Amino acid sequence: MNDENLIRYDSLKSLKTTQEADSFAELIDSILPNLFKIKDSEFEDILSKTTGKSNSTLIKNLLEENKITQTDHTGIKRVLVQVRDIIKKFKVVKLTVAIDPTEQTISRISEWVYKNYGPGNLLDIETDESILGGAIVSIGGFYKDFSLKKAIGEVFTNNKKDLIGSLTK
Amino acid sequence: MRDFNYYLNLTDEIGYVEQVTDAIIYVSGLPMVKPEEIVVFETGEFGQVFSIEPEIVEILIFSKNSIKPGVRVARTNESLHVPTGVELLGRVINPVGLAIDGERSIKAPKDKRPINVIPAGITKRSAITKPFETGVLIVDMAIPLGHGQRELVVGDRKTGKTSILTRSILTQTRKGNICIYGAIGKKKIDVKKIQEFFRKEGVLDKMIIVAAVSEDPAGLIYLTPYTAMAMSEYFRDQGKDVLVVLDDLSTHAKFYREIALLGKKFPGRNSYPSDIFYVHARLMERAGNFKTENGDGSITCFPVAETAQGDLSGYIETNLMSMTDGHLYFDKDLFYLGRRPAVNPFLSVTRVGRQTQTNLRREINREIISFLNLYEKLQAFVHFGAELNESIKATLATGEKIIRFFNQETNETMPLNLQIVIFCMIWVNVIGNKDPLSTKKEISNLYNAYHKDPKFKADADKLTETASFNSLLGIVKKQGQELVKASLIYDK
Repeated sequence: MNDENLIRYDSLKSLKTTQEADSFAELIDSILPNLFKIKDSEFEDILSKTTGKSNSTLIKNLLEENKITQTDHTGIKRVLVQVRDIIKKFKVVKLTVAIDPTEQTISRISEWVYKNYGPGNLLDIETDESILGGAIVSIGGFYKDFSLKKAIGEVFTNNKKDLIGSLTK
Repeated sequence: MRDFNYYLNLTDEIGYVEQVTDAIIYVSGLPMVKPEEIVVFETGEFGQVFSIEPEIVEILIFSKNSIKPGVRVARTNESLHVPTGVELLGRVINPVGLAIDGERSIKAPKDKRPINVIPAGITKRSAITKPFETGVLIVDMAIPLGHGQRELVVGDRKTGKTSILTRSILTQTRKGNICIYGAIGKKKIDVKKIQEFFRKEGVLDKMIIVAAVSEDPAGLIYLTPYTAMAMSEYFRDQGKDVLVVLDDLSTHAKFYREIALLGKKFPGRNSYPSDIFYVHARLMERAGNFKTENGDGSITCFPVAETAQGDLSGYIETNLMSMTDGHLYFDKDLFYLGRRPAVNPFLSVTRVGRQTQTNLRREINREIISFLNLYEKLQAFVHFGAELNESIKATLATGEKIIRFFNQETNETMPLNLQIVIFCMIWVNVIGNKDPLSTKKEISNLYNAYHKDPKFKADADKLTETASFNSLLGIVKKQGQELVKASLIYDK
């Protein structure tokens, strides 16, 4: 569907991590059953009560892009169901890092992933101090260990004799 | 096998468990995984790739431990290999080569073999020419087999199938050949009994028992015949004659059906997957007579199939019949009549066994089959209560003697040459003219004499070198009594 493509590529870019995507999907799940219980003008109220500003803006943008008014509950339902289905199809880029990344770092990584792997990817960031530094990345089933722990381990393995020699001098 | 992290860094690919359905685990990721590749789970378990779909890989798990969704999986870039070697002789191992007999740990064999290989082509095969001795009278005399033959053992449960298999193993191991017993989904206690039996008979060190018991995971049970065959191929490549028993392929088919249905394969006849014929035929093709670098080697295969209520037309049974070189049919009715073994010579088939026979044995074989036919027909007349003439009475009496001769006690075996000599003695009324117990005694004396007196053995063996059945009968008529007299000293 054309609508689906529009939603996937342009509008959901603000969802960067799996946590954000999960909470957004939960939000959709909470809105959908109430959609037909409210009066025409109350959709705005529902949004403001159930979610924060960013998610509320995202939903409004999605509706605007698909030219659906806030009184067209059938149209809203169609868009939200589509969005929920698309989020389920997003690929996950697993990232293990040594420290908790800042919002800025997450945005930069997300931007990099968008540029190199295209849209439809979510970051699943995990913190593991034992890797010391760098990152372990897995995307689409491919796995790469760029951690400092591995690099140091390799140095020790490759230069075992020299290191033992220098220590025993 | 190395650990999960080793393979993860080696292959640079990762998968995540998405769904668990008993023996089949659905995994996402692993983009370059190959069919039948071994994968390792983060939790230490391992499995084999069962099928590959665009987004999901189905893994057949070999462990009883539960796997949870989200667990990481790594490729190994290896197919399943099992350790093979003489170190395994005398042991009970599971299909991945680990000892399960609770005894000392196995000294790891150097060689490893893939368990699923493409069967050797026609250029590496040779005709079946060597007779195969089971030690079971009715089989060796009426349904002869050859080394490299695939003979299905089929019949209802509790009709003596396992007994004939153990006797064949006893005979073959005593002749110095290697035997592999594949116990597929059997009870633990049954496997233990088999092991103890062979240990008691002193032949356990000439054989390997590959066993997956009924409580093992379906994946492991499914692998059993492949591992048994891989073990056989190792010894075959050393130029040895190997007997492999697959007990039983009906159970194997059932477990394969379970796995296939869990893997959402489309069910075919009796819900078996459509490739069940291929699976068994590919396995059977690995047996035969082969030319190897170390001389001729053979794998004689005895697959077992269980029938229900004597129905030979079952799906798996007919499949196996069509891919083997004959079958031994265990008749429930004969079993109830007291025949041991209850092999029905008329419904049993050997397609290549007769070509291994000498002229003498072939003549005897023909005589036996035609006589048993006649005996069966005449027995039908007796039921009518008709008055019988002397000739019919004589035929019936001989028939009874022959049937009694074919009756053997559990695990009793008889060498091929002695079988011929005793049969001829009965045929010309040298022995067997008294009551059944005395006949049994006479046969027992001859058996003991054959095993204990080298001269007696040489004389008996020489008799079997006679060119034809008629000539042999003439000789036995003249010399038979002397042999019987010579055997009397072994009368306990």
